Amino acid sequence: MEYLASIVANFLIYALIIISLNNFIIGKTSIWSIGHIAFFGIGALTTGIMVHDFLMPGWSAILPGLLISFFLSLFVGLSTLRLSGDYFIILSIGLCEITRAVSHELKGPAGMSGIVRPTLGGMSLDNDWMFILLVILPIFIAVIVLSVRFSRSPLERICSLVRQNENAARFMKINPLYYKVGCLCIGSLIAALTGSIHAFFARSTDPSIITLYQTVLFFSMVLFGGINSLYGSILGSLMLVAVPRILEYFINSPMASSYSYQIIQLMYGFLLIFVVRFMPQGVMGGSKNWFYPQENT
Amino acid sequence: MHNISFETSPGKIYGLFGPNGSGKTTLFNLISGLYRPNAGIIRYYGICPKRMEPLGIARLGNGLARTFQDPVVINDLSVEENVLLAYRLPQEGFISLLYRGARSFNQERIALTEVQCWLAHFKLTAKKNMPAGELSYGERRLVANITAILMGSGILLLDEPFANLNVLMIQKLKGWLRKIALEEKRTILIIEHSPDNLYDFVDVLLRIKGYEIDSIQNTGDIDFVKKLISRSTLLYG
Repeated sequence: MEYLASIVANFLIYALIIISLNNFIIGKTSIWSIGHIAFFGIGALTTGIMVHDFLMPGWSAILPGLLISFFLSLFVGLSTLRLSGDYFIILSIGLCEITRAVSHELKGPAGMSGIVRPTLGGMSLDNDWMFILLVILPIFIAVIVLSVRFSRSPLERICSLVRQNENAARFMKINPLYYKVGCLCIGSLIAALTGSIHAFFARSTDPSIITLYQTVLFFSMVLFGGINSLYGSILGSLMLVAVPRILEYFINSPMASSYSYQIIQLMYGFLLIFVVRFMPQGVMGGSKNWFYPQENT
Repeated sequence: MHNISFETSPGKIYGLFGPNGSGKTTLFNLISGLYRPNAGIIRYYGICPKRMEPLGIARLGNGLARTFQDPVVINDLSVEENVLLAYRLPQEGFISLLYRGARSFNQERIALTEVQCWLAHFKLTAKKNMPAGELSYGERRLVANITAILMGSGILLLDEPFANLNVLMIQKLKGWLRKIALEEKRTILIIEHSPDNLYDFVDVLLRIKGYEIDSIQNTGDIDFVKKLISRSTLLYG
């Protein structure tokens, strides 16, 4: 039962990360932010340190992580997005490395442990299922609602315009910088919140997620599910959680298990090749999700 | 471009024509702020902006809207959503994620009605939910024209609005442009390759050749006051 709880929690947390990347950043601004996972790490590390070392009460310990992520993404976004998204992507890689270095410096390469879960109105959240039901699931639903509101608001149209042709947007009295940076900030906020929640759930932090490998995996799942598709993000998260489990179930020989890491990578590779060949817009990508390169006016 | 100096009055339609590569679109780019002049000044509604860039100029006074020689239409969005982009609604920024008031929804509904009315006028209703990337070239140009006109700006720059359109649509467009120029006192500048489409339609004809204004003809009988603002020497690119 405990094991099942951790699978469900992982699924929801991965889904939150992929949604923050796919449905708020890549899907709206076409910026493939390689360092996006850094905000997850910042949220997790900040919350962990605040709770463990500074003995901040649990729920308010989430706030510093959110603030740091917000201002970092604001700063990097404002300075680079006046030029083009490519500069932001490069800077985000740097941000990722800095986060990893800071994490190693402060808490070592294995991360920290012993993070105490906060209580909810006096009730303890030590039971994993309680935590999932009362914390992770509501946040998951809230983010989904936010994403759906986004798609149905004028924001979606404006972001499509900015994505395709920034100069045309300027002629329509729209400031492309505002919308690009705004989307970025929201995406990084959600990632930071997810990091904090994960730190509470796992009662520890693990900087090994802040690597290029994980980013490539997330990008693959974004492509697999479909850019800008909510169902696609959830499907991608399902793949991330299900594929290793399926492997565990079917391959029982001891020799294979020593290669399990590589076999998993192979399976993800096949999924990606399959999607790119047969369903290039993603499994859940629909007719409204064609992406054209940025035009030059 | 060299030696460009002319003045426009609200409520008039100006036609620019000339051979290929004579600088007509360059002039539009200068006016709309895409290119910055090396010398000389451009005044909009009597105001000389501090920074000659598209966003700032578009926000001056009653605004400025333009179309492009190659029509720009958002491929991901439907035809209806494309034209809806012309309207700046209240609370269309990130506030709308948290809260969106009744005023915003009402404005959107009003805008949608207007959009659907004009799409019907130009026989595009059947395709209003189609992704704009699937339209034919002429239809794309039509949508771009409609969007620019519906922005309601005081200055309208249309780059070859009649190309690839059939005669009926051209007549409808001309009728609409005449109407808004007269009633709403908007200044309209139109680029066309040959003056054939312009003779019976515009108030003032400008012939552009070799990056200079070759001649200015008054086609109407309304007197046109020409005032030299300054001599300007503008380099292309």
